[in-house]
Amino acid sequence: MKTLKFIFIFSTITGVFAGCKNDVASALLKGEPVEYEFTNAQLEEQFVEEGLVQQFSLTSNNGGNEAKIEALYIGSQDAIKTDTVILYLHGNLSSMNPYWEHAANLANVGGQHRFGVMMFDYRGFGNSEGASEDITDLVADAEACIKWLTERGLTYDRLVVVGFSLGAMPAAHLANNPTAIKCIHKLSIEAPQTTSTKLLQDATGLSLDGSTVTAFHYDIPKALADYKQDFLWIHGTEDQTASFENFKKVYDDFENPNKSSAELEGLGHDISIEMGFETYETLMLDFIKK
Amino acid sequence: MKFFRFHSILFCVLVVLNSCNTTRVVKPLEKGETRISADLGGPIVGFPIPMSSLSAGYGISDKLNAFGGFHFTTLAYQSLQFDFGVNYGFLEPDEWKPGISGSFILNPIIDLRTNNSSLFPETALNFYWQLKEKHIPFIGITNWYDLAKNSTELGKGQLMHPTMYLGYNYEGPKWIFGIETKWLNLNKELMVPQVDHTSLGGKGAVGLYFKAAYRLIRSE
Repeated sequence: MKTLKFIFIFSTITGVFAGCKNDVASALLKGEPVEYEFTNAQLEEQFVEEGLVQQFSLTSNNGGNEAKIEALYIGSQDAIKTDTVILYLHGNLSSMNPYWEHAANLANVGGQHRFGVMMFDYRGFGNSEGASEDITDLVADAEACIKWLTERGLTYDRLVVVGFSLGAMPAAHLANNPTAIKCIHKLSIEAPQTTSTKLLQDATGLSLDGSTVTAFHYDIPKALADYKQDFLWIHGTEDQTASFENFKKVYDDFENPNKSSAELEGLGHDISIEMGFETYETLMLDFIKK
Repeated sequence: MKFFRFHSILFCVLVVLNSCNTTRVVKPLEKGETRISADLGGPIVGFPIPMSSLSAGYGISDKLNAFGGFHFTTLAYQSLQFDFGVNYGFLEPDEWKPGISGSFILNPIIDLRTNNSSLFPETALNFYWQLKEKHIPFIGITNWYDLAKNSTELGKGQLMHPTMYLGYNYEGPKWIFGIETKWLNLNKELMVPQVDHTSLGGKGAVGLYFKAAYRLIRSE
Protein backbone atom coordinates (compact mmCIF):
# COMPACT_ATOMS: atom_id res chain seq x y z
CA MET A 1 0.00 0.00 0.00
CA LYS A 2 2.83 2.39 0.85
CA THR A 3 4.44 1.64 -2.50
CA LEU A 4 1.16 2.43 -4.28
CA LYS A 5 0.89 5.69 -2.38
CA PHE A 6 4.42 6.55 -3.37
CA ILE A 7 3.73 5.80 -7.03
CA PHE A 8 0.56 7.91 -6.91
CA ILE A 9 2.33 10.88 -5.31
CA PHE A 10 5.29 10.54 -7.67
CA SER A 11 3.02 10.43 -10.72
CA THR A 12 1.04 13.44 -9.55
CA ILE A 13 4.12 15.56 -8.89
CA THR A 14 5.65 14.48 -12.20
CA GLY A 15 2.48 15.46 -14.02
CA VAL A 16 2.48 18.90 -12.42
CA PHE A 17 6.10 19.57 -13.35
CA ALA A 18 5.67 18.13 -16.83
CA GLY A 19 2.81 20.57 -17.32
CA CYS A 20 5.18 23.48 -16.76
CA LYS A 21 6.54 24.89 -19.98
CA ASN A 22 9.27 27.00 -18.48
CA ASP A 23 12.12 28.25 -20.56
CA VAL A 24 15.21 30.10 -19.46
CA ALA A 25 14.44 32.57 -22.24
CA SER A 26 12.02 34.00 -19.72
CA ALA A 27 15.06 34.77 -17.59
CA LEU A 28 17.15 36.08 -20.42
CA LEU A 29 14.50 38.11 -22.17
CA LYS A 30 12.33 39.72 -19.55
CA GLY A 31 12.13 43.37 -18.61
CA GLU A 32 9.56 45.29 -16.60
CA PRO A 33 7.34 48.35 -17.03
CA VAL A 34 9.02 51.59 -16.01
CA GLU A 35 8.58 55.32 -16.01
CA TYR A 36 10.99 56.44 -18.67
CA GLU A 37 13.53 59.04 -17.59
CA PHE A 38 15.56 60.59 -20.39
CA THR A 39 16.79 63.91 -19.08
CA ASN A 40 20.17 65.40 -18.24
CA ALA A 41 19.45 64.74 -14.57
CA GLN A 42 20.27 61.06 -15.14
CA LEU A 43 23.53 61.84 -16.97
CA GLU A 44 26.92 62.42 -15.41
CA GLU A 45 29.37 63.51 -18.10
CA GLN A 46 27.89 63.91 -21.57
CA PHE A 47 24.66 65.84 -21.87
CA VAL A 48 22.03 66.34 -24.52
CA GLU A 49 19.67 69.08 -25.63
CA GLU A 50 16.52 67.78 -24.00
CA GLY A 51 14.42 69.30 -26.75
CA LEU A 52 16.06 66.89 -29.18
CA VAL A 53 15.00 63.79 -27.24
CA GLN A 54 11.79 62.24 -28.47
CA GLN A 55 10.18 59.13 -27.02
CA PHE A 56 7.45 57.42 -29.02
CA SER A 57 5.81 54.12 -29.92
CA LEU A 58 5.97 52.16 -33.13
CA THR A 59 4.64 48.83 -34.32
CA SER A 60 6.87 45.82 -34.79
CA ASN A 61 5.70 42.86 -36.81
CA ASN A 62 7.30 39.43 -36.53
CA GLY A 63 5.56 37.30 -39.13
CA GLY A 64 2.13 38.62 -38.17
CA ASN A 65 2.86 38.77 -34.44
CA GLU A 66 2.52 42.51 -33.90
CA ALA A 67 3.63 44.42 -30.81
CA LYS A 68 3.72 48.09 -29.93
CA ILE A 69 7.27 48.87 -28.87
CA GLU A 70 8.70 51.97 -27.24
CA ALA A 71 11.54 53.84 -28.90
CA LEU A 72 13.71 56.89 -28.40
CA TYR A 73 15.34 59.21 -30.91
CA ILE A 74 18.07 61.61 -29.87
CA GLY A 75 18.86 64.37 -32.34
CA SER A 76 17.16 66.29 -35.09
CA GLN A 77 14.86 64.04 -37.08
CA ASP A 78 15.34 66.38 -40.03
CA ALA A 79 18.93 65.15 -40.28
CA ILE A 80 17.87 61.53 -40.77
CA LYS A 81 17.55 62.10 -44.50
CA THR A 82 21.08 63.45 -44.83
CA ASP A 83 23.34 62.24 -42.03
CA THR A 84 24.57 59.06 -40.38
CA VAL A 85 22.27 57.49 -37.80
CA ILE A 86 23.26 55.06 -35.05
CA LEU A 87 20.78 52.35 -34.05
CA TYR A 88 21.64 51.20 -30.52
CA LEU A 89 20.44 47.75 -29.40
CA HIS A 90 20.65 47.66 -25.63
CA GLY A 91 21.57 44.87 -23.23
CA ASN A 92 19.52 42.66 -20.95
CA LEU A 93 18.59 45.10 -18.20
CA SER A 94 14.91 45.71 -17.81
CA SER A 95 14.39 48.75 -20.05
CA MET A 96 16.04 51.60 -21.95
CA ASN A 97 16.49 53.56 -18.71
CA PRO A 98 19.79 51.94 -17.62
CA TYR A 99 21.14 52.52 -21.13
CA TRP A 100 20.29 56.20 -21.34
CA GLU A 101 23.89 57.14 -20.58
CA HIS A 102 25.17 54.77 -23.29
CA ALA A 103 22.83 56.32 -25.85
CA ALA A 104 23.66 59.86 -24.72
CA ASN A 105 27.36 59.11 -25.10
CA LEU A 106 26.75 57.95 -28.68
CA ALA A 107 24.81 61.18 -29.28
CA ASN A 108 27.96 63.06 -28.26
CA VAL A 109 30.43 61.15 -30.42
CA GLY A 110 32.08 63.74 -32.70
CA GLY A 111 30.36 66.58 -30.84
CA GLN A 112 26.97 67.08 -29.26
CA HIS A 113 24.27 65.61 -31.51
CA ARG A 114 26.78 65.01 -34.29
CA PHE A 115 24.91 61.80 -35.13
CA GLY A 116 21.31 60.87 -34.52
CA VAL A 117 20.83 57.91 -32.16
CA MET A 118 17.84 55.60 -31.98
CA MET A 119 17.23 53.16 -29.12
CA PHE A 120 14.22 50.98 -28.35
CA ASP A 121 12.86 48.50 -25.86
CA TYR A 122 12.45 44.95 -27.16
CA ARG A 123 9.03 43.36 -26.69
CA GLY A 124 8.47 42.70 -23.00
CA PHE A 125 11.17 45.15 -21.96
CA GLY A 126 10.26 48.50 -20.43
CA ASN A 127 6.84 49.58 -21.65
CA SER A 128 7.00 47.67 -24.91
CA GLU A 129 4.11 45.29 -25.30
CA GLY A 130 4.30 41.55 -25.89
CA ALA A 131 7.09 39.18 -25.01
CA SER A 132 10.45 38.35 -26.48
CA GLU A 133 10.56 34.59 -26.85
CA ASP A 134 12.80 34.10 -29.82
CA ILE A 135 15.70 35.80 -31.57
CA THR A 136 13.30 36.64 -34.42
CA ASP A 137 11.29 38.82 -32.01
CA LEU A 138 14.37 40.88 -31.20
CA VAL A 139 15.35 41.13 -34.86
CA ALA A 140 11.83 42.13 -35.89
CA ASP A 141 11.86 44.97 -33.34
CA ALA A 142 15.18 46.24 -34.69
CA GLU A 143 13.83 46.01 -38.24
CA ALA A 144 10.81 48.05 -37.21
CA CYS A 145 13.18 50.79 -36.10
CA ILE A 146 15.12 50.63 -39.37
CA LYS A 147 11.81 50.89 -41.23
CA TRP A 148 10.89 53.93 -39.14
CA LEU A 149 14.24 55.50 -40.04
CA THR A 150 14.05 54.70 -43.76
CA GLU A 151 10.55 56.18 -43.90
CA ARG A 152 12.20 59.41 -42.74
CA GLY A 153 14.83 59.36 -45.42
CA LEU A 154 17.66 57.20 -44.07
CA THR A 155 19.59 55.44 -46.78
CA TYR A 156 21.33 52.16 -46.12
CA ASP A 157 24.85 53.49 -46.41
CA ARG A 158 24.30 55.87 -43.48
CA LEU A 159 23.12 53.32 -40.91
CA VAL A 160 25.43 52.18 -38.09
CA VAL A 161 24.16 49.37 -35.86
CA VAL A 162 25.64 49.08 -32.37
CA GLY A 163 24.63 46.05 -30.27
CA PHE A 164 25.65 45.73 -26.65
CA SER A 165 25.62 42.37 -24.86
CA LEU A 166 22.11 40.97 -25.48
CA GLY A 167 21.79 43.55 -28.27
CA ALA A 168 24.70 41.94 -30.10
CA MET A 169 22.52 38.88 -30.75
CA PRO A 170 19.82 40.62 -32.83
CA ALA A 171 22.46 42.93 -34.32
CA ALA A 172 24.38 39.94 -35.70
CA HIS A 173 21.24 38.12 -36.80
CA LEU A 174 20.05 41.32 -38.46
CA ALA A 175 23.27 41.34 -40.45
CA ASN A 176 22.48 37.81 -41.58
CA ASN A 177 19.07 38.83 -42.93
CA PRO A 178 19.29 38.81 -46.74
CA THR A 179 17.07 41.85 -46.99
CA ALA A 180 18.65 43.74 -44.14
CA ILE A 181 22.21 42.94 -45.10
CA LYS A 182 22.01 45.77 -47.62
CA CYS A 183 21.09 48.12 -44.76
CA ILE A 184 23.91 47.42 -42.40
CA HIS A 185 27.09 48.87 -43.74
CA LYS A 186 28.58 49.23 -40.29
CA LEU A 187 28.06 46.83 -37.42
CA SER A 188 29.63 47.18 -34.01
CA ILE A 189 29.06 44.66 -31.26
CA GLU A 190 30.11 45.30 -27.67
CA ALA A 191 30.66 42.52 -25.08
CA PRO A 192 28.78 39.86 -27.05
CA GLN A 193 27.95 36.29 -26.11
CA THR A 194 28.59 33.67 -28.81
CA THR A 195 25.83 31.04 -28.94
CA SER A 196 22.99 29.86 -26.73
CA THR A 197 24.68 26.47 -26.48
CA LYS A 198 27.98 27.99 -25.40
CA LEU A 199 26.17 29.99 -22.72
CA LEU A 200 24.85 26.76 -21.18
CA GLN A 201 28.18 24.99 -21.60
CA ASP A 202 30.04 27.77 -19.81
CA ALA A 203 27.56 27.59 -16.94
CA THR A 204 27.60 23.81 -16.57
CA GLY A 205 30.99 22.91 -17.97
CA LEU A 206 29.18 20.06 -19.75
CA SER A 207 28.71 19.36 -23.45
CA LEU A 208 24.97 20.04 -23.36
CA ASP A 209 23.06 21.71 -26.17
CA GLY A 210 21.36 25.01 -25.37
CA SER A 211 18.01 23.44 -26.20
CA THR A 212 18.27 21.43 -22.96
CA VAL A 213 16.97 24.46 -21.10
CA THR A 214 15.69 26.89 -23.72
CA ALA A 215 14.06 27.17 -27.12
CA PHE A 216 15.78 30.56 -27.51
CA HIS A 217 18.47 29.85 -30.06
CA TYR A 218 21.07 32.30 -31.23
CA ASP A 219 24.35 31.74 -33.00
CA ILE A 220 26.38 34.89 -33.58
CA PRO A 221 29.32 33.23 -35.39
CA LYS A 222 26.95 31.59 -37.87
CA ALA A 223 24.94 34.78 -38.29
CA LEU A 224 28.08 36.76 -39.07
CA ALA A 225 29.59 34.21 -41.44
CA ASP A 226 28.51 36.02 -44.63
CA TYR A 227 28.83 39.57 -43.34
CA LYS A 228 31.61 41.37 -45.19
CA GLN A 229 30.85 44.99 -44.39
CA ASP A 230 32.63 47.11 -41.76
CA PHE A 231 32.67 45.30 -38.44
CA LEU A 232 33.95 46.36 -35.03
CA TRP A 233 34.16 44.09 -31.98
CA ILE A 234 34.68 45.74 -28.57
CA HIS A 235 35.28 43.56 -25.50
CA GLY A 236 36.97 43.82 -22.10
CA THR A 237 39.37 41.03 -21.19
CA GLU A 238 37.91 40.79 -17.68
CA ASP A 239 34.26 40.54 -18.74
CA GLN A 240 32.56 38.20 -16.25
CA THR A 241 29.22 38.15 -18.08
CA ALA A 242 30.21 37.46 -21.68
CA SER A 243 33.47 35.57 -22.06
CA PHE A 244 36.23 37.51 -23.82
CA GLU A 245 38.05 34.28 -24.72
CA ASN A 246 34.98 32.83 -26.39
CA PHE A 247 34.43 35.76 -28.72
CA LYS A 248 38.16 36.19 -29.33
CA LYS A 249 38.10 32.77 -30.97
CA VAL A 250 35.02 33.73 -33.00
CA TYR A 251 36.68 36.97 -34.08
CA ASP A 252 39.94 35.26 -35.05
CA ASP A 253 38.03 32.74 -37.19
CA PHE A 254 35.77 35.41 -38.73
CA GLU A 255 36.75 35.91 -42.36
CA ASN A 256 35.97 39.54 -43.06
CA PRO A 257 38.56 41.88 -44.58
CA ASN A 258 36.76 44.82 -42.99
CA LYS A 259 36.84 43.59 -39.41
CA SER A 260 38.52 45.41 -36.57
CA SER A 261 38.56 45.02 -32.82
CA ALA A 262 39.19 46.84 -29.57
CA GLU A 263 40.33 44.28 -27.00
CA LEU A 264 40.60 46.26 -23.81
CA GLU A 265 42.84 44.90 -21.08
CA GLY A 266 41.40 44.79 -17.58
CA LEU A 267 37.92 46.07 -18.43
CA GLY A 268 34.63 44.33 -17.67
CA HIS A 269 31.20 43.98 -19.21
CA ASP A 270 29.93 47.58 -19.28
CA ILE A 271 32.69 48.27 -21.71
CA SER A 272 31.68 51.56 -23.33
CA ILE A 273 31.27 53.22 -19.92
CA GLU A 274 34.31 51.60 -18.32
CA MET A 275 36.72 52.72 -21.05
CA GLY A 276 35.71 56.36 -20.56
CA PHE A 277 34.01 58.66 -23.02
CA GLU A 278 37.15 59.97 -24.74
CA THR A 279 38.39 56.50 -25.65
CA TYR A 280 34.92 55.41 -26.74
CA GLU A 281 34.43 58.52 -28.83
CA THR A 282 37.74 58.01 -30.63
CA LEU A 283 36.93 54.38 -31.28
CA MET A 284 33.44 55.01 -32.61
CA LEU A 285 34.39 58.06 -34.62
CA ASP A 286 37.19 56.16 -36.36
CA PHE A 287 34.77 53.32 -37.11
CA ILE A 288 31.98 55.55 -38.41
CA LYS A 289 34.32 57.58 -40.60
CA LYS A 290 36.17 54.51 -41.88
CA MET B 1 12.42 43.28 -10.80
CA LYS B 2 11.30 40.54 -8.44
CA PHE B 3 9.96 38.53 -11.37
CA PHE B 4 13.17 39.00 -13.29
CA ARG B 5 15.25 37.98 -10.29
CA PHE B 6 13.11 34.92 -9.69
CA HIS B 7 13.62 33.69 -13.19
CA SER B 8 17.31 34.48 -13.10
CA ILE B 9 17.50 32.17 -10.12
CA LEU B 10 15.63 29.48 -11.96
CA PHE B 11 18.07 29.95 -14.77
CA CYS B 12 20.89 29.29 -12.34
CA VAL B 13 19.07 26.24 -11.08
CA LEU B 14 19.24 24.72 -14.47
CA VAL B 15 22.75 25.54 -15.37
CA VAL B 16 24.27 23.61 -12.51
CA LEU B 17 22.68 20.32 -13.43
CA ASN B 18 25.38 18.06 -12.14
CA SER B 19 25.44 16.83 -8.54
CA CYS B 20 22.17 18.57 -7.85
CA ASN B 21 21.01 16.42 -4.93
CA THR B 22 22.37 15.02 -1.70
CA THR B 23 24.54 11.92 -1.97
CA ARG B 24 22.04 9.15 -2.67
CA VAL B 25 23.75 6.47 -0.57
CA VAL B 26 26.55 7.10 1.92
CA LYS B 27 26.21 4.22 4.37
CA PRO B 28 24.94 1.16 2.46
CA LEU B 29 21.37 0.06 3.07
CA GLU B 30 20.79 -3.27 4.75
CA LYS B 31 19.87 -6.26 2.62
CA GLY B 32 16.22 -6.05 1.61
CA GLU B 33 15.78 -2.47 2.80
CA THR B 34 13.82 -0.15 0.51
CA ARG B 35 14.03 3.57 1.01
CA ILE B 36 12.48 6.57 -0.73
CA SER B 37 13.98 10.00 -0.48
CA ALA B 38 13.10 13.57 -1.34
CA ASP B 39 15.86 16.11 -1.96
CA LEU B 40 15.76 19.86 -1.99
CA GLY B 41 18.55 22.33 -2.52
CA GLY B 42 21.08 23.66 -4.95
CA PRO B 43 23.74 26.27 -5.59
CA ILE B 44 23.70 29.27 -3.28
CA VAL B 45 22.70 32.57 -4.86
CA GLY B 46 22.11 34.36 -1.57
CA PHE B 47 20.14 31.27 -0.51
CA PRO B 48 20.15 27.65 -1.71
CA ILE B 49 18.11 27.21 -4.86
CA PRO B 50 15.26 24.76 -4.26
CA MET B 51 16.02 22.08 -6.83
CA SER B 52 14.02 18.98 -6.18
CA SER B 53 14.33 15.28 -6.88
CA LEU B 54 12.84 12.01 -5.68
CA SER B 55 14.82 8.81 -5.42
CA ALA B 56 14.55 5.24 -4.23
CA GLY B 57 17.19 2.83 -3.00
CA TYR B 58 17.26 -0.93 -2.42
CA GLY B 59 19.67 -3.10 -0.50
CA ILE B 60 20.61 -6.03 -2.76
CA SER B 61 22.94 -7.23 -0.05
CA ASP B 62 24.42 -5.65 3.05
CA LYS B 63 27.18 -4.22 0.89
CA LEU B 64 25.63 -3.73 -2.54
CA ASN B 65 22.79 -1.25 -3.14
CA ALA B 66 20.95 -0.03 -6.20
CA PHE B 67 19.28 3.34 -6.45
CA GLY B 68 17.64 5.69 -8.90
CA GLY B 69 16.39 9.24 -8.90
CA PHE B 70 14.26 11.62 -10.92
CA HIS B 71 14.73 15.41 -11.11
CA PHE B 72 11.55 17.49 -11.11
CA THR B 73 12.97 20.95 -11.56
CA THR B 74 14.69 19.96 -14.78
CA LEU B 75 11.42 18.49 -16.04
CA ALA B 76 9.73 21.83 -15.46
CA TYR B 77 12.15 23.21 -18.04
CA GLN B 78 11.33 20.44 -20.50
CA SER B 79 14.24 18.12 -19.97
CA LEU B 80 14.18 14.70 -18.34
CA GLN B 81 16.99 14.02 -15.92
CA PHE B 82 17.51 10.73 -14.09
CA ASP B 83 20.24 9.06 -12.14
CA PHE B 84 20.71 5.32 -11.78
CA GLY B 85 23.48 3.80 -9.78
CA VAL B 86 24.94 1.15 -7.53
CA ASN B 87 26.78 1.65 -4.26
CA TYR B 88 29.21 -0.79 -2.70
CA GLY B 89 30.44 -0.76 0.87
CA PHE B 90 34.18 -1.39 0.87
CA LEU B 91 34.80 -0.93 4.56
CA GLU B 92 32.57 -0.58 7.60
CA PRO B 93 33.30 2.17 10.13
CA ASP B 94 35.15 1.16 13.26
CA GLU B 95 35.10 3.79 15.99
CA TRP B 96 37.08 6.68 14.49
CA LYS B 97 38.11 4.78 11.37
CA PRO B 98 35.74 5.80 8.63
CA GLY B 99 33.61 3.49 6.61
CA ILE B 100 34.24 3.68 2.89
CA SER B 101 31.68 3.23 0.15
CA GLY B 102 31.79 3.94 -3.56
CA SER B 103 29.16 4.50 -6.23
CA PHE B 104 28.95 4.20 -9.97
CA ILE B 105 26.11 6.24 -11.43
CA LEU B 106 24.71 6.99 -14.87
CA ASN B 107 23.08 10.39 -15.40
CA PRO B 108 20.96 10.58 -18.55
CA ILE B 109 19.54 13.94 -19.59
CA ILE B 110 16.95 13.97 -22.37
CA ASP B 111 16.08 17.23 -24.05
CA LEU B 112 12.33 17.04 -24.70
CA ARG B 113 12.46 19.91 -27.20
CA THR B 114 14.73 18.13 -29.65
CA ASN B 115 14.85 14.59 -28.19
CA ASN B 116 18.62 14.88 -27.99
CA SER B 117 20.06 12.92 -25.11
CA SER B 118 23.27 13.00 -23.13
CA LEU B 119 24.69 10.44 -20.72
CA PHE B 120 27.19 11.34 -18.02
CA PRO B 121 28.81 8.51 -16.04
CA GLU B 122 29.73 9.40 -12.48
CA THR B 123 31.86 7.84 -9.76
CA ALA B 124 31.79 8.75 -6.07
CA LEU B 125 33.80 7.83 -3.00
CA ASN B 126 32.36 8.36 0.48
CA PHE B 127 34.06 8.36 3.87
CA TYR B 128 31.62 8.18 6.77
CA TRP B 129 31.53 7.66 10.50
CA GLN B 130 28.75 6.14 12.59
CA LEU B 131 28.34 7.83 15.96
CA LYS B 132 25.91 6.37 18.51
CA GLU B 133 24.16 4.39 15.75
CA LYS B 134 22.10 7.28 14.39
CA HIS B 135 24.59 9.98 13.49
CA ILE B 136 26.42 9.69 10.18
CA PRO B 137 28.79 12.53 9.33
CA PHE B 138 30.54 12.09 5.99
CA ILE B 139 32.81 13.59 3.38
CA GLY B 140 33.34 12.55 -0.19
CA ILE B 141 34.21 13.36 -3.74
CA THR B 142 32.26 12.64 -6.89
CA ASN B 143 33.07 13.18 -10.52
CA TRP B 144 30.96 13.48 -13.66
CA TYR B 145 32.72 12.34 -16.85
CA ASP B 146 31.88 14.22 -20.03
CA LEU B 147 32.75 11.66 -22.68
CA ALA B 148 31.51 14.03 -25.40
CA LYS B 149 33.80 16.84 -24.29
CA ASN B 150 35.13 17.28 -27.83
CA SER B 151 31.69 18.36 -29.00
CA THR B 152 31.78 21.37 -26.70
CA GLU B 153 31.70 24.59 -28.73
CA LEU B 154 34.90 26.58 -29.14
CA GLY B 155 36.91 23.62 -27.91
CA LYS B 156 36.76 24.17 -24.18
CA GLY B 157 35.27 20.87 -23.02
CA GLN B 158 36.64 18.97 -20.06
CA LEU B 159 36.41 15.28 -19.16
CA MET B 160 36.42 15.72 -15.40
CA HIS B 161 33.77 17.60 -13.42
CA PRO B 162 34.57 16.95 -9.76
CA THR B 163 32.52 17.91 -6.72
CA MET B 164 33.52 17.63 -3.06
CA TYR B 165 30.98 17.38 -0.28
CA LEU B 166 30.57 17.38 3.46
CA GLY B 167 27.37 16.29 5.16
CA TYR B 168 25.50 14.80 8.05
CA ASN B 169 22.68 12.23 8.09
CA TYR B 170 20.45 11.44 11.05
CA GLU B 171 19.26 7.86 10.63
CA GLY B 172 16.22 7.09 12.75
CA PRO B 173 14.32 3.79 12.69
CA LYS B 174 11.99 4.99 9.93
CA TRP B 175 13.04 8.48 8.94
CA ILE B 176 16.39 9.74 7.76
CA PHE B 177 17.22 13.42 7.54
CA GLY B 178 20.30 14.88 5.97
CA ILE B 179 22.07 18.15 5.28
CA GLU B 180 24.97 18.47 2.91
CA THR B 181 27.13 21.17 1.40
CA LYS B 182 28.86 20.70 -1.92
CA TRP B 183 31.57 22.43 -3.86
CA LEU B 184 30.37 21.84 -7.39
CA ASN B 185 32.60 21.88 -10.46
CA LEU B 186 35.52 22.85 -8.25
CA ASN B 187 38.08 22.77 -11.08
CA LYS B 188 36.60 25.49 -13.23
CA GLU B 189 35.20 29.01 -13.25
CA LEU B 190 31.48 28.93 -14.01
CA MET B 191 30.16 31.91 -15.93
CA VAL B 192 26.47 32.45 -15.25
CA PRO B 193 25.30 35.81 -16.65
CA GLN B 194 23.46 38.09 -14.22
CA VAL B 195 23.56 35.65 -11.31
CA ASP B 196 26.07 35.95 -8.47
CA HIS B 197 26.66 32.47 -7.15
CA THR B 198 28.80 31.53 -4.17
CA SER B 199 32.13 29.98 -5.12
CA LEU B 200 35.44 29.20 -3.43
CA GLY B 201 38.45 31.06 -4.74
CA GLY B 202 36.42 31.96 -7.83
CA LYS B 203 36.08 28.29 -8.75
CA GLY B 204 32.88 26.27 -9.05
CA ALA B 205 29.71 26.85 -7.06
CA VAL B 206 28.83 26.10 -3.46
CA GLY B 207 25.52 24.40 -2.86
CA LEU B 208 23.42 23.45 0.15
CA TYR B 209 21.09 20.45 0.10
CA PHE B 210 18.55 18.79 2.37
CA LYS B 211 17.19 15.28 2.39
CA ALA B 212 14.24 13.52 3.98
CA ALA B 213 14.10 9.77 3.45
CA TYR B 214 11.72 7.08 4.66
CA ARG B 215 12.37 3.37 5.00
CA LEU B 216 9.44 1.65 3.28
CA ILE B 217 10.71 -1.82 4.05
CA ARG B 218 13.39 -2.57 6.57
CA SER B 219 14.96 -5.96 7.13
CA GLU B 220 14.81 -7.22 10.70
